[in-house]
Amino acid sequence: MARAERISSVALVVFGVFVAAYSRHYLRLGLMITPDAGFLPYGIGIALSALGAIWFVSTFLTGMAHEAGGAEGGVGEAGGEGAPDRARRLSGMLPGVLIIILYAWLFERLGYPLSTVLFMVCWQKIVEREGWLKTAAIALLSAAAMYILFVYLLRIYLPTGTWFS
Amino acid sequence: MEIFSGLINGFSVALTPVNVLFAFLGAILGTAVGVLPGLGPAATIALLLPATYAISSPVTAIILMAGIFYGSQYGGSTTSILLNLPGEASSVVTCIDGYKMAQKGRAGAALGIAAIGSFAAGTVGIVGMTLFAPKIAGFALSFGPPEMFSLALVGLLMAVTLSGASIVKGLIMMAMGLLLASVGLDPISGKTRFSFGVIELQSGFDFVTLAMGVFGLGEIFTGLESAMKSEAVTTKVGQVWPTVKDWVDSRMAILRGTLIGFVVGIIPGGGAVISSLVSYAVEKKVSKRPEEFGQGAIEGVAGPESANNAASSSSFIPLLTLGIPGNASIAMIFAALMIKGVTPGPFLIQEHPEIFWGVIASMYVGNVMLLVLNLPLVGLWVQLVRIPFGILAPVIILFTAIGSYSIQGQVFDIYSLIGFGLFGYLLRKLKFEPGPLVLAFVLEPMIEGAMRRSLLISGGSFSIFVTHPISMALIGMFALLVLGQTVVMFRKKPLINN
Repeated sequence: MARAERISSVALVVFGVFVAAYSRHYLRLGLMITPDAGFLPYGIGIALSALGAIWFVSTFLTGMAHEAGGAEGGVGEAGGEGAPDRARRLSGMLPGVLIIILYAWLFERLGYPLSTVLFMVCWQKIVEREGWLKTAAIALLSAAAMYILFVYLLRIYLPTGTWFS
Repeated sequence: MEIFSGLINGFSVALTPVNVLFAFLGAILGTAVGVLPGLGPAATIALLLPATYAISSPVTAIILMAGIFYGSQYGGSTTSILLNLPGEASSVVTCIDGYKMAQKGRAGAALGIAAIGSFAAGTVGIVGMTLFAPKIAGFALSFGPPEMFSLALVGLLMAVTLSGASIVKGLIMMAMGLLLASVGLDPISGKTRFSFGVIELQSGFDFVTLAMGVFGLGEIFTGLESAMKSEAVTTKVGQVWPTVKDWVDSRMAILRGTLIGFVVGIIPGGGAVISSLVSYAVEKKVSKRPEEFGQGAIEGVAGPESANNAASSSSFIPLLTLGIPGNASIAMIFAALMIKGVTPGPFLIQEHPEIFWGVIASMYVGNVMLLVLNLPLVGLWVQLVRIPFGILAPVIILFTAIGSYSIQGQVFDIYSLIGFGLFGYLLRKLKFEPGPLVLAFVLEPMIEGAMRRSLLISGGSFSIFVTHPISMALIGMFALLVLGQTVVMFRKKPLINN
């Protein structure tokens, strides 16, 4: 975790510098009496860089204190999560994220009904590893429930796709 | 007299069949959300924000949202007591003695006193709001741009410093919220900021998409990693009406909890979580038998549960009177009002009395509904915990995706939602509290607009913020708070508190 925090804090410093530079050169700061569009973002960019630097120093100091404690207390005190642990965690999340991205990509191409059923089927089979019968039941029921809620009750337009239009 | 007539008008709004139905729906949904671990009130209100487009009346939409918010405080105690599983952050402290009571066969008494304490404190909180809110709104009518800027900024900074998490991380979240809100068209100069040629970004990020992504999807992604499992309920509830001894033991705890909750709830960043922690600490301190705390002391349930409900009522005061949301859930209600074309603030009571008084009156109604709903249906609420995450997660994802698409009818918003979801997941991994992010996002237009108008008035001098008495008082109050916090921080905690 300490390593992730250090990387994130450095990234934040760089990001803050970018925001400040972009605001100054492209959006313009204007005059004190009439600040331009870049005035507030410029201040935010500088603040982000400064806060990122403080975060980095704090994480670094905390890490050093942990390492000192680890040297006294034995091996593994300063370590974060191991590679197998990280891989197990990511394997739980990554397929889910990819399925949602696929859903967004298909949403207008296939239309709401097909893409939603497909999303639920993928989710139940890949993420939850359910049987086909349960998968089909959950997919059809949830797609129908969402359709009733959004289209009939809330009267919101959803793309139907070429098959249903 | 003015308050009384306002309240009568409020009841005439709140007691219409549609508004009673939505208050009931809000109470039911809120209790369910409070019971379900991992889905907080902020996330649920965020998920329901697209629905506010379809509800034509703003007062009805806010009654629904408010019901969810205070209902979740009731529901959170149920799983804390029966399963040692807090449905809400504000119910964490209830686990300590509530679960011990349940293990000793006194789950019913714990649930009973939690519900009655919640009802009493919630009602007192609403009475306090009825009395004080119009006066605060009247005072705030004299605020100009410098006062509004200081108020919004100090409110935001207080939310960061009092949130209990790392101050540096809170400030980073605040800066990120301000930055995200500045994307899109600058209302004064007409320039487009940070759109990088993407047409969809020219109108900026939508608050609903941001909130649903960071809170809703972010929580789902975190849940996917840890593979949340449902638990079986084995605890017997038994008699829910407390005994005479229980009453005697808990009456002062309820009273103290109510007072603590009401005061802490008004302060931006205070809210239900801090008030429940403060109440527990106070009860332990004043108790003649402090050794019983942690072993099933009924005061340890009565005090915090009363405090978090009083806080959830009083946290509406800064929103309805000053237009300042004090926590993430209230920020969602702020956004819902803005979606309906209503600007919360000192003019609300004059321009939209039906909303101001209607919401207050609906809270009296909702509080009674919650008391009636909670105790007899406790068995049903507990069964909700058994809904598999494998069904709940994809349904919530569908809800957020379709909800964000429905706002402008563009797939770009679903991609933004996924981006914000991943951002929310990253924030949780790095132990950031996303509350200040959404607060800053909703307050950015007020902060930037008031700052630019103030600079125009003062001829470009920042001294305007310290020469205007109210603005100076606000900044002074915040400086004192920071000083106090700094002393405490250097004595007790490191700068980054993980």
